Amino acid sequence: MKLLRSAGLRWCNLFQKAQLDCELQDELMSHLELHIEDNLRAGMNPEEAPRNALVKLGGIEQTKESVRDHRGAPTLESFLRQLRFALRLLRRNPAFTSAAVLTLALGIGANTAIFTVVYAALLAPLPYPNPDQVVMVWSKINGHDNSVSPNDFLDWKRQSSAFQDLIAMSSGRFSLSSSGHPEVIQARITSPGFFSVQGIPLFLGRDFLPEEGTVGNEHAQRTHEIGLRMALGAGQRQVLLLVLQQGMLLASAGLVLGFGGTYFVGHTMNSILYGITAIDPLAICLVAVVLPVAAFLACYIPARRAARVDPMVALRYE
Amino acid sequence: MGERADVWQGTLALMVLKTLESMGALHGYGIARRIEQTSGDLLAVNYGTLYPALLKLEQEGYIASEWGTSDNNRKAKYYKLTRAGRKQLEEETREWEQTTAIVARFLTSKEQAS
Repeated sequence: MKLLRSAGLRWCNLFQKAQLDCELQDELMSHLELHIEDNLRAGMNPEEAPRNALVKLGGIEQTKESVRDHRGAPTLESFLRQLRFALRLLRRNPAFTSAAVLTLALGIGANTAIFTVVYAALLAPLPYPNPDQVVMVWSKINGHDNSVSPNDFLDWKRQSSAFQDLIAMSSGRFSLSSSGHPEVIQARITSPGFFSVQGIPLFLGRDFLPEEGTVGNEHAQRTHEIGLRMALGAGQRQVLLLVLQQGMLLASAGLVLGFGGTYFVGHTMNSILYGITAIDPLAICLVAVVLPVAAFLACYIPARRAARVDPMVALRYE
Repeated sequence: MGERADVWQGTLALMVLKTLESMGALHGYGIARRIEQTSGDLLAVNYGTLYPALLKLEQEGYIASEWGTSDNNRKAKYYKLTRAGRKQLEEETREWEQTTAIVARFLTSKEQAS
């Protein structure tokens, strides 16, 4: 503690040098004045008195110097002096200096880059607990790794006992547009449980619930929002309409795209088929009728469920 | 010179602390005079050597300084003992007495042996 305090004061002193020197000067002057006064009072003559005081003190500059020796961190001061000297030397040999700096820069840069890659690829543990228990599962066709079909995945998940849990994963590019700036992002689609399987805790919000992994359960993701709307006065009918509207919009968009695709693919296929046609008006009509009905039902049933949610329960969801 | 100066610095600190304890707040010149008088003018040392010792004691927190005015209206820097200084004085006094006692015993026993 004592040492620390002393070191702290020394450090401060390094920066207040001028002020401290001033104060020391004042102190020594007052010392001399007091001494001279004493001398005069003791009967010394006015010429002798100041000389005697100065001699007894041992010289102003000598005293200052010995005080300065005890002040300021001498090691640091001499270090700075050495540093300045080194810089001066380097400046005098620019060729040598630049060669040395360049060599060091290249060496450090290359080393850092290589080590960064090696570290990330080989040394660094994966950033979640028990990474040695995480495996990728593939299906095999003719000895080649192949993607797993969704139904196979569901069967595996249900029937296998070798894994604590299984999640499905697929990646793709998506466009993310926010305030008019569309951007291509790499993203992954996973079944619910992606985070819990890896043991990654969420900082904020909640993970997807198991039922949110099932088609037609989009409302589950929006329970909170629906609860909020209902709490703010939206009636069951309005919520129902909201969900239906969205579902039908998706379905009709699918229909339009589907018909467009059918027409295009059909035409292409027609050119290579002989004797039969790929465009079957009856089938198209059937699809055009069945699909909206199916979409309506697929939206209406979950929508009713969503609308029946107690707002208080829904708000507590998060 | 070096060795004697070291001893001087060590004992000087003790003398300064003791002086401040018996005299209360005092300026550098006053401390120097007091030490000179108490030692019976045996210590013929420059007053200037006192100032590094004062600085060191202040850095260690045993004394504190403050500018004030002397009896005859002169500005002077006054030093006074802190609580840590008082404790340090007790400790150093005890150590000093112990050391001198040992040395004294050592010297007298040598005398008897020869």
